[in-house]
Amino acid sequence: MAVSKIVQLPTANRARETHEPPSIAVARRHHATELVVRNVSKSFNIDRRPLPVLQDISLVAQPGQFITIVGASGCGKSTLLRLIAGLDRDFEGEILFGGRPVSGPSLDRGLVFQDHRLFPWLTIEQNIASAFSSRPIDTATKRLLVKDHIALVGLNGFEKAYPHQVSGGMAQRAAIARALVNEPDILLLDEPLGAVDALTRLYLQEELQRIWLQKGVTMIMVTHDIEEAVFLGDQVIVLQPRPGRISKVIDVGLTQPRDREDSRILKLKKEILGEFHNPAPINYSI
Amino acid sequence: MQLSPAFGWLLKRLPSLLSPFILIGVWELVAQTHLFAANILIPPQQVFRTFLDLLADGELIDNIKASGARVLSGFAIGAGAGLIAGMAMGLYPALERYFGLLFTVIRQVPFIAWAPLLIVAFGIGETFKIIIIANAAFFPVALSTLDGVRNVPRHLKDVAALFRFDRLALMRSLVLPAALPSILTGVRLALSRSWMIVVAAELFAASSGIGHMMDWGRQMFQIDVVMVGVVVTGVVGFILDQMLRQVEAHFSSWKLPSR
Amino acid sequence: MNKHKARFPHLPDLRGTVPLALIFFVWALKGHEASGPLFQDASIGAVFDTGLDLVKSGALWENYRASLLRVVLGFAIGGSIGTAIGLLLGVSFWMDRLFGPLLTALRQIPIFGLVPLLGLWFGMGESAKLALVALAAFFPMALNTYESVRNLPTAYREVAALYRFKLLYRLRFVLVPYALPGVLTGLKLALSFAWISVIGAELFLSAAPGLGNLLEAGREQFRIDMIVLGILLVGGTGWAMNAAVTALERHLLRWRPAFS
Repeated sequence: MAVSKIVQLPTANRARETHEPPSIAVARRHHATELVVRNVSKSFNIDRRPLPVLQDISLVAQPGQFITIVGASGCGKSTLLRLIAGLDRDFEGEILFGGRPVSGPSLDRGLVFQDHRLFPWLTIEQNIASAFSSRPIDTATKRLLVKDHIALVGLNGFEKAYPHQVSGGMAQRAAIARALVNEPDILLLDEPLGAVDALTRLYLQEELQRIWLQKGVTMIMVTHDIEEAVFLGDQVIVLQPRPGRISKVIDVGLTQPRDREDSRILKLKKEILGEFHNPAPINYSI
Repeated sequence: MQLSPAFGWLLKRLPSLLSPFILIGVWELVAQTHLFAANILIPPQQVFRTFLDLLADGELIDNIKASGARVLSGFAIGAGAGLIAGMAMGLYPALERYFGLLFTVIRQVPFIAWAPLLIVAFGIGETFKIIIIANAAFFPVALSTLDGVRNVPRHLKDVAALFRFDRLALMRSLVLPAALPSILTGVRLALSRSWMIVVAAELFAASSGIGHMMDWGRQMFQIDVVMVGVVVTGVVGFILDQMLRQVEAHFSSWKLPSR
Repeated sequence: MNKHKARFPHLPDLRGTVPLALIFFVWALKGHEASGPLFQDASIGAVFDTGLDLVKSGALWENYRASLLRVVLGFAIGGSIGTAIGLLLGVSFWMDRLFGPLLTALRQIPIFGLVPLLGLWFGMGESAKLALVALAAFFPMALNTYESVRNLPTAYREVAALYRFKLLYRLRFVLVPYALPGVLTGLKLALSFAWISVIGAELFLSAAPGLGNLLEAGREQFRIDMIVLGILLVGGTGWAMNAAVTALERHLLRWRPAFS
């Protein structure tokens, strides 16, 4: 599956035909892949009693779209990403990617965890390269791809560093590079900036936006930061907890990049914040 | 509703509960084939019968008691000295600078290599056995105590200084509790080593003790007695280890945050 | 904190050698008094002279070589089987459930408690000695490998699943590096146990060249020189083996914060 994808020639994609290094063009794939999540529900068994975590979730991610999912902790947003990534196959409903049901992890769908999950015994470079260990690409191409993605996330000069030698923010960039190096059609981000300090966070949000504009990959990002969600998302999905369910879908309708102080952004922030001030009654009798 | 979790628990544990029976089963099967002579391999139930015999005539109990007494006195001396030495070096770094090297040098020599020298010096009686056990118990306790005392979290020391704790209060409410988990780990290691060594010491020469019983069994070609000895030493070692693990778990439940 | 360093910044701290020098001094002063009924001659000069003879005649080397050979062979056998079994138990759910507790229980048998049994099984010769050394190396190796392999965190398993690592890649770049610190700890323990049991085997299981034999002969003949040389070699070799594994550890685990 992965093999046939590599041979496919790049087709028209937005915002990235111009300054691309050749290696990316070689391995690049066609991004017209749509993600459809339809009526997905999921519950965990705690002490042999089902505890619902997701209830009737439906969403569609158009190719190249940036969707942000915002919600309080415990609303099942990470679980939803794990389902889409194929790490957890035990759910009700339907998840279709490119028209086919998701049946397990695939290199078409990248995932960035909240903790960077780099292997501490591999250098930044080796960590990124580990992502295509299962793909038959020649070494020269691999080297070029790694080099380009290190440049993409701005880690030049840290290729040979071990994860403990770089800051948390840099490790998370490396994790993003690892997820992108396979040129996935969609990138799932599970609170990737949750563990970095506030200043780095603002900076990395802009970096993420730049990367998204540069690569045109579909992104779904989970966050509990409303400003982040509105600043980055084409569409913001608000999740309410226990069980996790969609309470509002907002189409931002502003071009990217955006100005944080834009009055429309501030208005949307207020609107979403309102969602959390009067939540639906919480059902504690789990 | 009540039954199924219990059943699930059993199903989960079943394989582990089975493992000793598998061992005994395989042992029995191999013994049945008579591939090995009777002085090499005997079936498990014969070992069990010998165990009951040795138990009934009091021989086994006497030997366990003799070994136990040696372990206890050697361990008490060694661990006690180790505790004092570790504390002293932890509290007065100058002591460690003077004696640390001597410590390291002596520690490099495995206990078994001291045995001939100790026998020359003290003869082959009880003294030698107790010293060799004490020597083996000393180092784990001394090192873990030193480690525990030295690694009392800095911020807690600051608190103690802020409240102007005197030496006694410092020891009682900070150093001892903070070092306890580490000390207990050392104590467990020391005890399990002491048990290992008493068997070795009794192999050199002894008229009582579990090691003596086994060596005597070997000389008389009584494989059943030797096997009983192996099982009993294993079980005693296991019980000692588990007991101290319980103590350790109990006292480390309030483990201090590091640094 | 370190007053010595503050006062004499350019001098190495030699305070640790004071007790050693004292011991040596007392020996040099009083050693000849101890000679007599108990020892042949325990004066420092005599011990040094006879010790030198032992070195010159090649007797020391012969014994030392025999012990080294035993530890290498025994460790190679026991250590490799231990690693393989530990890996198997750590990776396979059912093997873990069936044999994990058994391994933990068998470890509690004091290693020298096996001497009489192995003596009966293999006779008092070389094979019993090797079996003892192999068993001594087996348990720490198997247990440490087992524990470290079994504890591979889900976080790493998920990354491996996400990027569809193939079995060999998963072993080489995830499982082995993750387990390596624990396995190296096992290696240290196994080597030290193997070395102890070589000496023990030589003491308990018939006379054949070996450092244990040298110690035993020294005891029988009241020759302090033999015993002291034996102790020095046993201790020195144990120390050297440990230092070698520590150096290996530093090299292999250089990705760890503590080592860089």
